[in-house]
Amino acid sequence: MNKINPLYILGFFVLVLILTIVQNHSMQNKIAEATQLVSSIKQNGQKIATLKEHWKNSKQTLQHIESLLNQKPFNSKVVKNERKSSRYTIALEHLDAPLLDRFLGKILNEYVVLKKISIDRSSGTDISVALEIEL
Amino acid sequence: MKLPINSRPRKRLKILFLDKETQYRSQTDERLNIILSPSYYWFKKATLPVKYVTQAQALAASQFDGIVPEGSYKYTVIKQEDLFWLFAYDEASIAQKLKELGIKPSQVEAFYLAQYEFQNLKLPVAIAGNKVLVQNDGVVSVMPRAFVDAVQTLDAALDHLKLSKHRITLNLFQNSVLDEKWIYRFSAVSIVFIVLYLASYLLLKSDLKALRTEQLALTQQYKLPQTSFQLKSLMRSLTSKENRQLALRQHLKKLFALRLSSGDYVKKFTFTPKGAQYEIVLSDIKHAESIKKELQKAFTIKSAKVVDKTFYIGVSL
Repeated sequence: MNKINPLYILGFFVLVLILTIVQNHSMQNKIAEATQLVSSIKQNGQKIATLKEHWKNSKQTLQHIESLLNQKPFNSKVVKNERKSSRYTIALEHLDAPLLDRFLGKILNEYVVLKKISIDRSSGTDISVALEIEL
Repeated sequence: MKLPINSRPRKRLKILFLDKETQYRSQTDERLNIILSPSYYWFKKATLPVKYVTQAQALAASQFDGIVPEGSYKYTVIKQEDLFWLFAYDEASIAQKLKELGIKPSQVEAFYLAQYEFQNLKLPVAIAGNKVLVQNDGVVSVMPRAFVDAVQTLDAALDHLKLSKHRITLNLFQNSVLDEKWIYRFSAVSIVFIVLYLASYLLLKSDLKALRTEQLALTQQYKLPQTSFQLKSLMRSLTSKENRQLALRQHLKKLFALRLSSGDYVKKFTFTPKGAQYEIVLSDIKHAESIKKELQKAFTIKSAKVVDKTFYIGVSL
C-alpha cells in the first residue's frame, strides 16, 4: 500500500539531486584549485630548481671555475686558487689586456656569485686579477 | 501446539467495508483492511485473446470504453479460470471518501474488491444507507434493502470473511499538485541525474586524489618546503640573489666601458657589490673632470681626488 505521499518521494529525490549537484560543483571547484596548485607547484618548482642550480650549487660553481682555470692559456697564469669555507679566491698574473677581457668575459658569463674583483696593471702586458667568489 | 518463545498470534486487522454511504469514526493509527463496495468500481467479465494478467491489464481500459462515465480511472485484472475479471475504479473518489471519514493513508493496510471477496455470498448483507450487498450469478452488487427478504449484518459477514490475496494498490495522496504519473516520471529523471552526478562526483574524486598525489610527488621532486610561506620566502631569496648578480654584471659592463683619453690608463680597479674604485693614471689632469662626468651619468660618485697625475675615484652602485 502507498504509505508515503509520492510528492514526498519526488521531494526527496529532488533534494538528493540538489545535494549531488552541489557536491559535484564543490568537487569541480576543488579540482580547479588543485589543478592550479599543481601547475603553480610545477612552475615554481622548475624555477626554484633552476635558480638553485645556478646560484646555490657550489659544486657546479667550483667545477666551472676549475675547468676554466685548467684551460690554456689561463692555467699558466694562475697564482692563487684557494677555497676557504664558503669563499673561493683565485688570482691570475701576467695577463695582457685581451686575455684579461677573455677571462673576465668567461667568468661573468658563468653563474657565479661575485664578491670582489681586483685588477692591477703594472704594464700593458702585465695585468693581475684577483676574484673572490661565494660558494 | 508449542509456540516459539516470544511469538504471538498475529492480530487480525479490522476490516472496513467502504461504500459511498459508509459512516465510520476513525481511531488514530488504527490499521484497516478496506473492502471496496461495488459503488466504487465498475466490473466486467471478459474473454480476452491474451494469456496473462499483465497482458489483460493493457487491454482493460479499452474494455470499459463507453461503459464508464468520463473520468480518470485505474484498472485491475483478476484471472478466473478462462475469464478475466476487469475492474475500473476512480482513485480520487475513494481517497476523498477516506479523507471525509478521517482515515489517513498510513492507516490503510490494503484494499480488496467486494466482487472477489464476496463472490460466494449466500445471504445478502445489510450495508449502510438501507442498502444490501447481494451476489447474483457470480456478480456482487448493491441494491435497496426492500428487494430482499432475509439479510445478515455486515459485522457478521465480515467476522467470518477470510480475505483473499487479491489486493489492489491505490494512491491515496490525491492532494498532490502533480499527477502521480508525472511525479514518478520526474522521480525517475531525478534518479537518472543523481546517478550521473554521483558517477561524475566519483570520477572527480579520483581525479582529485590523483592531483593530490601529483602535488606531493612534485613537492618531493623539487624538494620544496611544506608551507607556501616558506616557498615564497625561498623564491624571494633566490630571485633577489639572481637579480643582484645580473645587476652587478650590468654595472661591471658600464664600468669596464669607461672611455679614457689617449695616454690615460687604469692602473688599479677594485669592484665589490657595494661599489667600485678606480686608480687612473692621467696624461693630463684636466681629463679627470670628463671621467668624473661620465661616471656620474650612471653612478653616484663617492670620492674623487687627483694626486700626482693619478685620479682616485670611487663610485657606489
